[in-house]
Amino acid sequence: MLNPNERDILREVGNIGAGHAATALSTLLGQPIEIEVPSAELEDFTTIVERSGGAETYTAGALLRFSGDIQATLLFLMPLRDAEKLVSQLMQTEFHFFSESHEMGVSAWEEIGNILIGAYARAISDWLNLSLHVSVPASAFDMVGALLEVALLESTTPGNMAVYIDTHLSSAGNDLTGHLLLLPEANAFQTVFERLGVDMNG
Amino acid sequence: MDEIVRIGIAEYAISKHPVILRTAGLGSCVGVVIYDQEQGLSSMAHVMLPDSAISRNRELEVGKFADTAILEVARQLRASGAIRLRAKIAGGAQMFQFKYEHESMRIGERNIAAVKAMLHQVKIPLVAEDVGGTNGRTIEFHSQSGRLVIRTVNVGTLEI
Repeated sequence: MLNPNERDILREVGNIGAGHAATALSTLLGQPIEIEVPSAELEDFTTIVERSGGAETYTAGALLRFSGDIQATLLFLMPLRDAEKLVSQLMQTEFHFFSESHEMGVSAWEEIGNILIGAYARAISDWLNLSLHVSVPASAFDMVGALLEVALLESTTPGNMAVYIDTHLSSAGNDLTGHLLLLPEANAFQTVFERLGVDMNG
Repeated sequence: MDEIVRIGIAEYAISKHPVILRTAGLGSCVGVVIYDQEQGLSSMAHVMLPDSAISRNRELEVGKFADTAILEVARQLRASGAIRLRAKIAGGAQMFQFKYEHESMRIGERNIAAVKAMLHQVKIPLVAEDVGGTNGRTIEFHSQSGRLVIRTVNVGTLEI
């Protein structure tokens, strides 16, 4: 969907967000964390589901809403086991969702999501030169297909497209994979893709 | 084992022979099964939104909306000789719990209401349902037995 040049720009924005996020998360975790962006792309819903491991993949999600110049949803997804490792690191004890310490872990996960998404949100709003406010985070732990449906609420967008940023985190010997999705609402799509240089009518 | 037909988001399928109809990862969407067991006819739709009024290309998005999907499936099933149609539905969850409730966040509830209203309109009785809540669902309809198997990752499996 994107040409190589556009993909590079998007990946660069992802890298800037990842940089902010790594700094903030390292502070939170009290350990160095590295975040890389192997790829960034404009993808349709079906492809995003496939790249996330298929509709039934057990996944942790954190979600923030943008308001301000545009309305958009930012969704951070991570396979449940990877999310547990990250939360374990923050809680400094072995953690599993739906265990006795579930509530505490959910708060930790939302805090991680808040920091990660907030960092990307800053990079994205700088890039788009838009003034944006982010909401408080919400979280869910379920099949990735079901989590992604939240993205389709306003979906009169052509082909149900979303900006998809692959995120690779490494810290304390853990290699973790995440995906960040930027989902502009229908009336915001034009704004975002004009800045990206994509002709939505072409 | 009967053939398994997979239905993607905003799609529908109709079968005239024994089959397993399956759709994975229903969140706020609703899976609508309409069938005539005696005539061996079955269908499943993965409905995303309540009302096609917002659609700019309705012909291409029949399966996406409760109204257009149910109308079309009922029409095709009846044209294929269906006599006693029944419906089972599952889905319409609210996956993320928000502190401030946004109107569109209640899309699951709105989908359920729209599906029920449409079934009523096309005069198809709803014989079983598993809707709402906060869990994602994968559903499988076994056309020969009329069983709808509902799998979740957090609360196990259910059959209606």
